[in-house]
Amino acid sequence: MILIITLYAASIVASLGLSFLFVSILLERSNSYGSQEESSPSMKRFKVMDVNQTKL
Amino acid sequence: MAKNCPGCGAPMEYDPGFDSLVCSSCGNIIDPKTLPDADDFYYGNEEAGGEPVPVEDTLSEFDDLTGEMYDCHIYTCSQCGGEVVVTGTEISTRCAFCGSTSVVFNRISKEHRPDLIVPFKVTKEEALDRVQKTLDAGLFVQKKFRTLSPECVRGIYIPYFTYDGVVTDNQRHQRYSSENVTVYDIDAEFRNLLVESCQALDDRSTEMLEPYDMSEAVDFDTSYLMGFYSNIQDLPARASKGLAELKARKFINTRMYKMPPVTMKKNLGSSMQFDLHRTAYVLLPVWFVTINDNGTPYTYLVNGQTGKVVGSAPWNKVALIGAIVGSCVLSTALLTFIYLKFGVPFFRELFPDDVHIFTGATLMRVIGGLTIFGSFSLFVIALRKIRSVWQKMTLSRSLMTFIFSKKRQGGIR
Repeated sequence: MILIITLYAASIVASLGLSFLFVSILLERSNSYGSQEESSPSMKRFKVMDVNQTKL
Repeated sequence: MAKNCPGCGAPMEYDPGFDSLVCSSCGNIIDPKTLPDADDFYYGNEEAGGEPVPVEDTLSEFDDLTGEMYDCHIYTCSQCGGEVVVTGTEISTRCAFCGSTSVVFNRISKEHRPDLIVPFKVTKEEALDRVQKTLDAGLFVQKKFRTLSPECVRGIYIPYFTYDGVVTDNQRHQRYSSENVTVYDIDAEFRNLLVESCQALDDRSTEMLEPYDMSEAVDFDTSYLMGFYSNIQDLPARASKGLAELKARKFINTRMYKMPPVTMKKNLGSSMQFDLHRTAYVLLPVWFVTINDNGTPYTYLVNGQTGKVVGSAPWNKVALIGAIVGSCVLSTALLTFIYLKFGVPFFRELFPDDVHIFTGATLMRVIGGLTIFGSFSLFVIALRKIRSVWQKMTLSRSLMTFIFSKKRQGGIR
């Protein structure tokens, strides 16, 4: 019984977190316009070479 | 000096809708390139039919400033003779008396003359419409904000420098879950990297207006300034190069951070080499729309080429708290239903009668720990999002941006 109550309480706390996140995403989409571009169209070439791996 | 209509002599203005100069009096439409450039008048181009106009005749400057005096320039309107005060960095303005568009010649000549200009493509009405639509779509936007009554709308050309070049780097990355360090060689090429070069504006706001399509930039012509405000660059060359390097670094680091595998990783070291050089001085179009909320101005920026809106509206507290409480109640109710209907029978079946004390305690610790960690992470992500909205709202009500827009002569556009 204790286990069942614990599980229930835990999922309630998680659902509160999820609700809070859901509302914050809605707020961000609703009240905030424009964002900094994560990649610039001015970046015409981007080459990455994985040269080696070492252990610390 | 205004560009006048060859038909009726009234001042003409650049209309983004027509991509032409339009006469407000007789409706005459003229291609900007067919009218002589303002510089031709200033330097006395014979074809333009003008004698050279000495700078002193149009502009008076105070060399020795003392006490309460401040650095300003006075331009005598060529239409009505009124004296207009402009700041040291403005290159075009409107006459406060007759509304005529005016260009102060010596600010766009010699070293201050821009190389390129991206003309306004979005009209004033379209800019207002876009701001209105974004506000209308907002769930938590205060009601009074939905009925847009802008205090002022101004079209302003903002000065930028473009940089071309190559950036190379050597970065060492380590994933948190591993002891392995990966070394990456990076080679990035930039073309038309934009650096805003007006100190009176907050870079964070103008950066969000990007991207601009630089292929639409045309050779600078004063005709495009008619009817709009504009500033010249006032950023020292070294500072502007520093900003270009900072921006390039940010783009590269973002790309590297997002590169798969997208796991928690840290950059142990970097040695960026910049080979960026300035290629052009360009004016880019921005609409400034200011809405007043009980004495607090909120300024929205609209990209004059693409129509992208930047800003943030103050949230409706009642709607926001209602949404949080409502979603919590709803999710709890839904969860309770699912739990009673499916969860309890499932656990009863899994642990018939008694749960071994050790198994039960361990399970509870595991579940409790995971829940606390998960919920804490969700709260942190949510708080970061709210902080980002708050920061953007602070930018929107930035007095710096408001003053930049407001100080322009008159309240027209």
